[in-house]
Amino acid sequence: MHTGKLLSAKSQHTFILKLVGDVRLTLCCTLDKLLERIFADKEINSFIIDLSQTENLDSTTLGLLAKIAVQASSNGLAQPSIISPNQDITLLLESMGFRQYFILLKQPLTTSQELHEVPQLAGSEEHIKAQVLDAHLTLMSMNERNKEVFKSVVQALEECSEPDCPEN
Amino acid sequence: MSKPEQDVALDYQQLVEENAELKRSLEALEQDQLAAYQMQHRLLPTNLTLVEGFRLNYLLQPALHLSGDFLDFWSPQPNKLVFYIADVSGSGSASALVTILLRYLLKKYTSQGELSPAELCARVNKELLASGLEKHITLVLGCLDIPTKKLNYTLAAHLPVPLIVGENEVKELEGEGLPVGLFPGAAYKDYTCTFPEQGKLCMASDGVLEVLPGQGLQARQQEWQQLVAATGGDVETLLQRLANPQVGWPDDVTLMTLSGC
Repeated sequence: MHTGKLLSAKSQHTFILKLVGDVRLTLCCTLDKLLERIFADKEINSFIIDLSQTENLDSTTLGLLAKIAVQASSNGLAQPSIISPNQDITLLLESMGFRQYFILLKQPLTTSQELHEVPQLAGSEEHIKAQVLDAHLTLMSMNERNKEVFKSVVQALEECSEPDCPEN
Repeated sequence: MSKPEQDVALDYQQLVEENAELKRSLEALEQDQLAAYQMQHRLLPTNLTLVEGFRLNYLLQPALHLSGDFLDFWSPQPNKLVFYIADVSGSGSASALVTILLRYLLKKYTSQGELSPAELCARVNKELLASGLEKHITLVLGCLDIPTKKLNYTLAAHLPVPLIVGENEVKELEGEGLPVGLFPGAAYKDYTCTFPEQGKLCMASDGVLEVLPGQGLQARQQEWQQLVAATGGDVETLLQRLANPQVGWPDDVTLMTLSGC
């Protein structure tokens, strides 16, 4: 195993933390200090934790990662994302209940271009409804079968967007 | 003696003195650790105790003097038996202190009449977070009703998953749950099963997985289940099969079984 290493970067409002190798107790003090600094930085509003090159995480490190989600949630920020292509690490994260607190992703981000493109959870209920409707209209336009399958959903959504919809 | 020779002799003398001082400090620290180890050890239940027709058998092997693993087994009320196995994050003295706090809290809550494992976990979770100790615990916590053999339990992210050894099969206890002391407001769930007649509940800390062959968590858990099936969950036999004198124990390793007699 390779000795653990922490890499970090800030891109616009996103903080990226990458854990490399065998990350253990010895790095936890560094990580703890780093997190203090990040949460003091008011510009940051989203987090990506990249575990694509992580070989092992000890329990203390897991505890510190959990703190990112807890702190983000109490600061009213979106759920942090974890990139974990290693099935074994994902299993460990799941056993610790991380799926409730993080967005777990499989594929690593390879270019800085992609890093900017990570979607932010934002927008009003109206905005989300419009997006859902749009997505289903696109699905319907793809083939005849979809058209049938999603017809009723789209109808319901369209009705819901009307001003007289009971939810509005 | 020339001047440089005098300097060398002086340096040497100084090194000898410093070395002796370091040895004394190290001995004092070791004595201190040993005293703490003995204290932690005394807080463990007596091995091979029989309570209400159930026998406890365990082995707790710390990687250092002090262990972040802990277990207990007691009867807070007639016909009830409470037990747990816990693994505190990190290792050494700081984690060992948390095992003592956990023992204290669980004894206190159960003596106040609280016997729902899920509720106990929720209360410890709250207390641990409020303490700001920055330690979390994975836990298996159960409460057995002796006359009905009904087992109520909760799982708090503990690995390996506890195994029920019945007459013809070995299977994992169902359920899932969050670790204790990590997420504010975490909710836990009580699961129920029937303790098998003449059966056994076999638990371990994740140190066991580290000494098993196989790549990855899933493969090692399977190895563990096969090993338990092959040995019938007997602690001494398991220990013999797991021990590797060349490597020693890389982490705290704990084995614990509860057998119906």
